[in-house]
Amino acid sequence: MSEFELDLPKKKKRKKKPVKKEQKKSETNEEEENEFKFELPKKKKGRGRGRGRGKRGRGRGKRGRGRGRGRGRGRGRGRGKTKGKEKAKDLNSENLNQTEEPEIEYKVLKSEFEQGLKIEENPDYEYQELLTRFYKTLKERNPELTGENKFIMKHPKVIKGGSKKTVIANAQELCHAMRRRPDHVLSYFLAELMTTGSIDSDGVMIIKGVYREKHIVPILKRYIQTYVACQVCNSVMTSLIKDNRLFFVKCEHCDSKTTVQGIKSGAATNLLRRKQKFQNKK
Amino acid sequence: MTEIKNLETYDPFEDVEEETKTKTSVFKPIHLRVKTRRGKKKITTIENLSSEFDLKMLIKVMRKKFCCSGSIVNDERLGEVIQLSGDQREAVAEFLIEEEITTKKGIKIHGN
Repeated sequence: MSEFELDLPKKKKRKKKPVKKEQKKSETNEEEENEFKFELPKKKKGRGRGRGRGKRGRGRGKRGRGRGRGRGRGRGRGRGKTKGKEKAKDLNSENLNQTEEPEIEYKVLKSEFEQGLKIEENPDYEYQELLTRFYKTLKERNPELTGENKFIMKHPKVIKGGSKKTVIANAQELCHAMRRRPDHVLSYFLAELMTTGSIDSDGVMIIKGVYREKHIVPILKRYIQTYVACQVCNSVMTSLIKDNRLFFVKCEHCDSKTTVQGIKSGAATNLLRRKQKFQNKK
Repeated sequence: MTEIKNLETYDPFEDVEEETKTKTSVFKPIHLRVKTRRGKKKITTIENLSSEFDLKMLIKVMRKKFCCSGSIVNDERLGEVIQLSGDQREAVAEFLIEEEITTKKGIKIHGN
């Protein structure tokens, strides 16, 4: 007699070990039937049948699952179903009594990485699993060879240093990551912002004026585009060289040299200094 | 003696037309910068405008359009520089492109 009626969720069909699973299911069903008798409710797969809303169910659109989402999901489910059925048929043909797996004696030393991944003894890998495993190892051991050449820089920490002054606390780290002198970077900032500033002994930049991160980040980007990034191969492993009064950006990746203009400050700063000089003289 | 052609003067740039105004300004781009004066107040400076243009007329038109004050300042190493009150880099850039004084490549905007 069915005293309990539980709504158990359906078990997800895993494709790694089909042999073991079927045994488990058969065993568990037998045991359960002896102890309890409860019926699993049949999940009605279908578009709206039994829910009383119409053909497609749940107020969906033409494509079945609402707003153009039916395409991707429909295809994915279709493939999964067929694969599972094929494998089940193949296994039914073989003898299921051969449950004991042949013992494989491993004499090869497993690397630390492989021990971490827990490779099973009877592997039946799929393409995606192998792909993810490949990219994981690549990233750890040879991060240069991955296709991701994004140059991820830290954000500059912009802090208010009293009224009318801003402080960039990260300055030394940024310059070290870009392989540039902090003097050069400072002079570029001051030329762009038309203000005065200096560097402390700790590598901290102090700029006159109230600026925030949103003002300084685009200036940093421009600096990288002009003075750091190679224009041929877009890599960041470059260095600044001075040769015959000209500035060159030499790339270590592709061995190319490109000239670069020096940093020129604007006009207004000089004009203001002149005014101050006249006022002081008076 | 036949005329030796090698000794004749030959001007290879006869057929070439004179350089247009836009080309010269691309090599010497116009810089637009902003400077903060007192807290919120700002000044825009326009550099490297060629002296072919009548700067006084330019300032008149710009002052009326942007509703700001402006003046010309003589700088030692940069020549004549136009100063406008307020942050008008984008407005000036549009204005210069409309009047066909420069192209988009000939303008360089500095600052925020």
